[in-house]
Amino acid sequence: MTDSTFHLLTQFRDDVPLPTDELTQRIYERVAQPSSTRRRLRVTVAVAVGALLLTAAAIAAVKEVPWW
Amino acid sequence: MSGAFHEAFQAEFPALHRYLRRRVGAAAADDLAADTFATAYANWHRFDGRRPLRPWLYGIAANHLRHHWRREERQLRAYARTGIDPVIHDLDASIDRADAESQKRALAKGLATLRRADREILLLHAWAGLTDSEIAEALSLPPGTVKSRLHRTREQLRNQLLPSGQERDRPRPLTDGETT
Repeated sequence: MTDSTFHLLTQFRDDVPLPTDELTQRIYERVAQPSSTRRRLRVTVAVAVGALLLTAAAIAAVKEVPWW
Repeated sequence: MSGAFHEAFQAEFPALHRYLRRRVGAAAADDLAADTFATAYANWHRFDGRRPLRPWLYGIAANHLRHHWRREERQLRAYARTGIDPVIHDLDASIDRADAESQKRALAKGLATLRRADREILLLHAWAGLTDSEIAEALSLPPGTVKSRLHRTREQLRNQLLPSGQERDRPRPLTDGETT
């Protein structure tokens, strides 16, 4: 490749700008926050499953106990 | 971890985003850059801090870019055909898009016809500024393979930009499954 061809390639779409500070910040928050979101989701699911198990155990226990 | 990642993000995000935007346009670049850094964040504990960061990041980006190869080729062919570059379509309206230089249109056509893997290597070199050894590390290829592919791809592109009848030393095109 001649220098002029390589120069043409490096200049190709060279007017594409760097991202703005606002976009950089927005994407950083999108990247760095999902882990806390996922953690909250895991806790919520764990609490829901725990509540479900407790309810099922309670129902089973009530059925086992003689009604009188 | 988060402090080091924050520093890495601030240092590398702007250039990586611009590189991706040059490849596939603004809308896709936002998602690709976010996906790249999300992957980096999730795997940050695996990154060896003694090694350079850029090849690792651009390697992750290359993996995500694989899902956009068709879009990239479509945009390059559209630019070659119409003189209107879809990638910079949303930029300053004062840019006279319809009057694109014929050489740039030929370059777009040439880039579109390159093998995907070769285009990846060439643009990591020309647009991201990675060295041969950094590209080798990013794409998990032997340095010798990168060097020879880069040389062959540059020759191929140069020949495509020559006026018809002036081609010389045209390298034999390889299929996508073929390696050097």
